[in-house]
Amino acid sequence: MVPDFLTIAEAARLIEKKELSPVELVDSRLDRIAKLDGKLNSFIRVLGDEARRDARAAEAEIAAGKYRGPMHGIPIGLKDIYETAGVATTGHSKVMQDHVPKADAFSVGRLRAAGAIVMGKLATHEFALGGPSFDLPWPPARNPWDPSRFTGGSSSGTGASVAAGLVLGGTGSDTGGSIRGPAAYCGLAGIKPTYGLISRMGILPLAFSLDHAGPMAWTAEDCAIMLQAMAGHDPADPASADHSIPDYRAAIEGPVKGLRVGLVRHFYEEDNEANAATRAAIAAAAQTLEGLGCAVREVTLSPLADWAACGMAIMQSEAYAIHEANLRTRFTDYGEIFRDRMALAGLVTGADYVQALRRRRELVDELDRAMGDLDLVMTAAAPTEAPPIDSVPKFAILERPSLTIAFNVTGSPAMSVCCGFTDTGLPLSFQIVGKRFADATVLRLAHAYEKATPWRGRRPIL
Amino acid sequence: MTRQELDAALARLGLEVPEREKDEIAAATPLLEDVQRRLRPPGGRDVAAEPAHVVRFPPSQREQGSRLPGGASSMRRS
Repeated sequence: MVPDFLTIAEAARLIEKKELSPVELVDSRLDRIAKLDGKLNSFIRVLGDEARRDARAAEAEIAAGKYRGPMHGIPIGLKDIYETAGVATTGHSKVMQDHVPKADAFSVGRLRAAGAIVMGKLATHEFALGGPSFDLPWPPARNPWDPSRFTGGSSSGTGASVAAGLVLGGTGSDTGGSIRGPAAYCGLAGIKPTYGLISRMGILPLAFSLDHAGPMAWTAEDCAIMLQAMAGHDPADPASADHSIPDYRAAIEGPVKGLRVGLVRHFYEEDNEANAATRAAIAAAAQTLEGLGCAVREVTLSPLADWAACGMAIMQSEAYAIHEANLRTRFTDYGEIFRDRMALAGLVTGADYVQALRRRRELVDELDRAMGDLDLVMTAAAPTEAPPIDSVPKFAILERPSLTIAFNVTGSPAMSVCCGFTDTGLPLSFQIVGKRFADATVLRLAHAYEKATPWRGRRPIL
Repeated sequence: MTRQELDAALARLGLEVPEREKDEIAAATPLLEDVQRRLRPPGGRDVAAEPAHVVRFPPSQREQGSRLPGGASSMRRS
């Protein structure tokens, strides 16, 4: 009997010792998908036959002594903007519902090479921006902690499927918070790595200079395992960094005593005021980090709205350019939220875009200066727990300044970490941010925090 | 932005937006105007303030201050 919930690290240990069969593991997840996904809508397409075939191949390889590493035989899901050879990749949109790529995205190829088993394609907000939408070919994903609640977005299906134990990990993308938001609302660990660390090749773009691919899983350790498989230079991606890749899993076991952490409190106490439960959970998290030997001190940055304005102007301009032709000819084939956000984006001028890029340089320098004598910063990942799914305004991304997009502007590694639950059992989260290419330090602190707190022991009741 | 200005702007973009949705977009234009205002510092910006560049040139080219095709200087730092 395979447990309902397993982390990647736990399953990998069992698979390596031949105490867990990849075939049994995949079958148990397919059973779980069949039983539970009708109310979660996390999958757009389940690839059961392909997953069973790949699981049998993994089992045979492992039996023959060819164990590839901790992703070997692990069932994962792919946000449906990651292209998959011979399998439709839709962006959760009518506009691309017949798009069948010839090749896998670079990062999908790397995950397969590491032995991961692709269970299917996961729901997303339309083209990683417009949601939650109820007028698309597939319904929006729902939160396993309470299906009347929003998953966050845009990696909504990944958030829901991992939290529900339908897969052990999944891929997300993050242009303004689309990994960290659903990770926060669904109680996961999710890291937006340094810009350029994971190739964007074969991933449907939203905004070229802000798009980051990354893993979402139950723990920081699992994110480290997935990041190890996904990261690496890709000459086909012009922004891919030719940077050495450390051993993330080994790195997270290092000490955290002495790490200097800046707390950006004004982001969530003044600029986008978080509710009392979130503020209390972050205060407790800061105390926990101090208890682990970190030196936590408050830092002040430019108002959150300035960071959000910069990110939003860039996102709107780049996204509009990508969709311009289809918006002109197929406007109503897009869902209402996406198309209306894009219509507003069309009003951003060329001068606005250049001013945003100039502001971006100033803000990147500002964060670098602020972190000159710090190793990490921490702040909120979301101002509240997950709201009701039908309460999200069409222009929500402009109404309150995003707590996450600042670190897309700077390209910094940033991670959501669960830091407790509300009285009604909904997850709360905070964000850890590192210096560019210091992703391992972010993961190390998150891992230490998770080990020091009880939150990873609690799973949704489904 | 008035509704008339919005109609004209959407027409210039070539977008056929349903009337009801135009009202909602018009109501959201103050949010966009706040974004546009925040991109511009009240005292203006140094004329030479460069934008951020996404794609970095290889270190060897950066160090040598090599020239781009067409004779333009590469950025000093990216």
